Amino acid sequence: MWRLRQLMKPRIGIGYRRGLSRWLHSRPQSVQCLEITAEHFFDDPEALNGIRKIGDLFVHGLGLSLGTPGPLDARTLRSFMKVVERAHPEWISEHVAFTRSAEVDLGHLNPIRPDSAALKTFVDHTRELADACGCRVLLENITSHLRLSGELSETEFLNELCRRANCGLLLDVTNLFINARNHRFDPVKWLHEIEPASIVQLHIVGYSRSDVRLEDQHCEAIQPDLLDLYCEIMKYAPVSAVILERDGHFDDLSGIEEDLRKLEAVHASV
Amino acid sequence: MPASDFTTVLARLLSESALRAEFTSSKERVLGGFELSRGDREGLLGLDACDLELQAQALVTKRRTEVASLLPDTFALLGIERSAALFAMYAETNWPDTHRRHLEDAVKFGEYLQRVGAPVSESELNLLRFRLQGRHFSVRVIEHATAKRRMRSALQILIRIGSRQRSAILFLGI
Repeated sequence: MWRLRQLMKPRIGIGYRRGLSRWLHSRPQSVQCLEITAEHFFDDPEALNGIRKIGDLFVHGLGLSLGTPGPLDARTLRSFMKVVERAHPEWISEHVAFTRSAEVDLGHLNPIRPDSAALKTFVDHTRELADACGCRVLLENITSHLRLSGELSETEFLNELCRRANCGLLLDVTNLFINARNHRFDPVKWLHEIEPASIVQLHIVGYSRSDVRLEDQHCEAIQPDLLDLYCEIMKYAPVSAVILERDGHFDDLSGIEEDLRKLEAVHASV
Repeated sequence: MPASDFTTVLARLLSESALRAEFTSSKERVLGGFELSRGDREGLLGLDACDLELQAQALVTKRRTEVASLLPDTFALLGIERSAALFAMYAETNWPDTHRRHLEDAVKFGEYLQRVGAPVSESELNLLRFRLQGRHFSVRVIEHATAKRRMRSALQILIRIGSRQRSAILFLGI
């Protein structure tokens, strides 16, 4: 059993950011894979040639707005495909969210209502994306101040989406933790309602505190209570890869390496 | 009345503070202006006004954080409260819509500051315009650059080397 777990040990990596470039090109042993943000390379996909040498790549999208009814934005999809073509990722990922409507581009992630209409939109868009890129698609849970109710619970929606669109789940541990605190539900119960085999990849970074709620500013060290939830997930699901999602405080490389060590230590103990 | 859907109406509520205020005082009246399915209408009626406001504020805060990282000198000149107030006014009617949205947002905010007569670092704004335009070389005149605690005119030379941009400022009359 121990040997099996070692063999199934997930790869640990980090979200590629320009501020980390020099460190990542020194090939730190703690980084086994990288996730690039597709939009950062829309203007220069060739820049991925050097980054590919660092480790296995996953491509993560922010702006395809899979939750917007109607066709996907053709220009964004074409740019996304060019990045995928250059990166040769094992899988690609986007969010269970919308970022724009026909009238306005909000630029950031917003929740969708878990109903049959949204499910159909997501299934159609996810399949279209997978076909266009020739890759498996993972979809990520977001954090939001809005908690929308629909015909389905959030977990029913995600399970049904994975089943119908033949996609996997990129479970953002921090988003789950923040939503659970802000909207007062049990994250472990939520987790156990998700089909474990669908959880392929994780995102994690320390949460931030505002006056009234927790927030995802992507710049804090991983806190112990968040790590407890991470540990629960690692016991529950056969995760293939974990990405530390830092968007700031890049000068604190020792803090980033410490976070990577914390994740590694969990795998050794599970 | 054009047909609408949950996402379109939610996007408008998140981006238009006047519509949000009206929605808070009378959801029925605002939703009466949209042709919606029963499910979408019920979903929108179920929105919590406080959560809606928090989500709308979060969108603006995320944009402001990105813009502040691109215009650090300008935000330092403005101070925390004034930069937040001015950005909120600017953001209400400006929603950049490309993958370079943070850069576009920063340039548009800098130009907005110039229009309303608020302080802005000209050299910082020039550098962002240079990045956005994709040029390889540019020279700009800066009317108000700070040198030895005095405002002076200066020339700013902008050069692109590979994917990196470099800027040098030559003060005039020193």
